[in-house]
Amino acid sequence: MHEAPTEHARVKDSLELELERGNQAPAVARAALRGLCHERGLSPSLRHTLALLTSEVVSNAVLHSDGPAEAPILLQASIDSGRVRVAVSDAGEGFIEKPRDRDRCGGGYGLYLLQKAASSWGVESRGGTQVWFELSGEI
Amino acid sequence: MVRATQFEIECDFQEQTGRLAASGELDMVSAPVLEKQALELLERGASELIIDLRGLTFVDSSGLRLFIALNQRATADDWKLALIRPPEPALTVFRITRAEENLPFVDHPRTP
Repeated sequence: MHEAPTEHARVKDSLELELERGNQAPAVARAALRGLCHERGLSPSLRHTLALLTSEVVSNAVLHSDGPAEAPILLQASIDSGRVRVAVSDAGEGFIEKPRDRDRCGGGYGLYLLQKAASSWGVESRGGTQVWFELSGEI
Repeated sequence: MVRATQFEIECDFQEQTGRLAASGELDMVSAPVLEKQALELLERGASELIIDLRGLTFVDSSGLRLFIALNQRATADDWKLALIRPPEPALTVFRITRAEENLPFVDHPRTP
């Protein structure tokens, strides 16, 4: 159960961070992951891709979740043997995955980037929506 | 822990050439700021817009969408766009989407 939006982090092999749902959430998430990556010595290309995909998923949760505006976003990340898993959960009721419309330059790049760059990814809806992805190896 | 998006823009307009130098992180917060500056230069009559991205440390799809839209507008309205190539971390979104091949990146700033 979440109380008022607060942020707390444990930076070791994993990280869990509650983000206030606002336009600064992506920057806060990126900064938190930079700390985790720094401690674990991930390659630059993996770090850059991780920052990008995390920013996209958190931005989507901020902009498109149909959950209450005051409900926080939960960022979870873990690193194990060169594999990074990130999960972003919000209070919304999920979404229907649609292919990006190549004729439009607005919207739709978040999931497209997951499809192109993540080793695996998915969406789960159980009392909220969780978008997760994994990166592994030298990307 | 609160860390706001770090972003700054320098702006210059001379002889119908608009120059913007962006530094920091380009995301859903800062991309609209850069877009507003670019559109203001075009409204002032810029026939060439040079956006220096060398100071960027991060770009997400908000920045990608902005540059794709500006590039389409440049073609449609017959003005010239040049993007001075950012460092590696900020190139990631352009590489993954292959937009790097289609956007007007240049390696060095032009001198007047």
